[in-house]
Amino acid sequence: MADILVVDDEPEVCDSIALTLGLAGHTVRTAADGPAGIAACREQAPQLVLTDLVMPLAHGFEVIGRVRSEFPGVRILAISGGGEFGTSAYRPEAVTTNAYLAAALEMGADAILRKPFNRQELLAAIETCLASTRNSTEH
Amino acid sequence: MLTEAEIKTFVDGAMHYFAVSARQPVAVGSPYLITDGGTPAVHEYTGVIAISGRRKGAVCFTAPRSMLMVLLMRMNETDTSETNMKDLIGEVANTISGNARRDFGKDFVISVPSVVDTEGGKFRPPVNARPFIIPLNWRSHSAKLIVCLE
Repeated sequence: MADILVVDDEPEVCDSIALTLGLAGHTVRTAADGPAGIAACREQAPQLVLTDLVMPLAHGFEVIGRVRSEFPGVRILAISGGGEFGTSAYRPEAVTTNAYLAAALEMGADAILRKPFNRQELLAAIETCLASTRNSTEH
Repeated sequence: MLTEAEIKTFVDGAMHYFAVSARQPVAVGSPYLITDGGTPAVHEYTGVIAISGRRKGAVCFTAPRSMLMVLLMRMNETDTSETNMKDLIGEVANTISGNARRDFGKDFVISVPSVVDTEGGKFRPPVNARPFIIPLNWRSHSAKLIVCLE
């Protein structure tokens, strides 16, 4: 079982994920935005950071970048349901979930998960991330 | 040219849905026009209301899956499947459509909303009129109302 930090600005989503992971036996902390997530990592680095991508203050890509540079051993699972950065910004390009998640992998996320997801999909993605930790430790 | 009253009717429909169903108001952002024949960028789910009669065109409500997921959760719906997301976007469009029927009367023929899969982020309005975009901001999410009428 792992120490997991969940970063999502939506309390309903954050609580739901924390409950699911807690019931599965993981130790879970939550953060309501990017800066709080980065601060929580610095306070005590978790084994895995699960972060949303579109968030106010600091988006998930910034969280991924900071975690990758400061805590290279921490696994990262990025989740997204699309959206826009800047609530009134006009973006002529497509703003799709798949594009964001592909960018998260490029930024260094170990795994991605598209919202909405069910319990089994969430636990499987967590297991994939943690397995990559074990594999890199073994080699 | 769109009148302020026409736009207000569509915006009020969307605002009513969020106020009643999500129990949290939506904030209306600064509207803008798409120029030079461009097509509006849309999110992954789009509800379309076709309009004919005195005006011809369409009104669309488009939202990202992250917003729809939280909306469903706010309604105590635990099933956030694709089907429920599409039903939800249809419900919002239906509320907008009902508001327009009430305000515009017989001059406008307003269709039952259809839900279009706009995963690719593209949507071509059914008429040549310039699309008028009204951002609708709710919590940290942003949806759009696209009004495209000749």
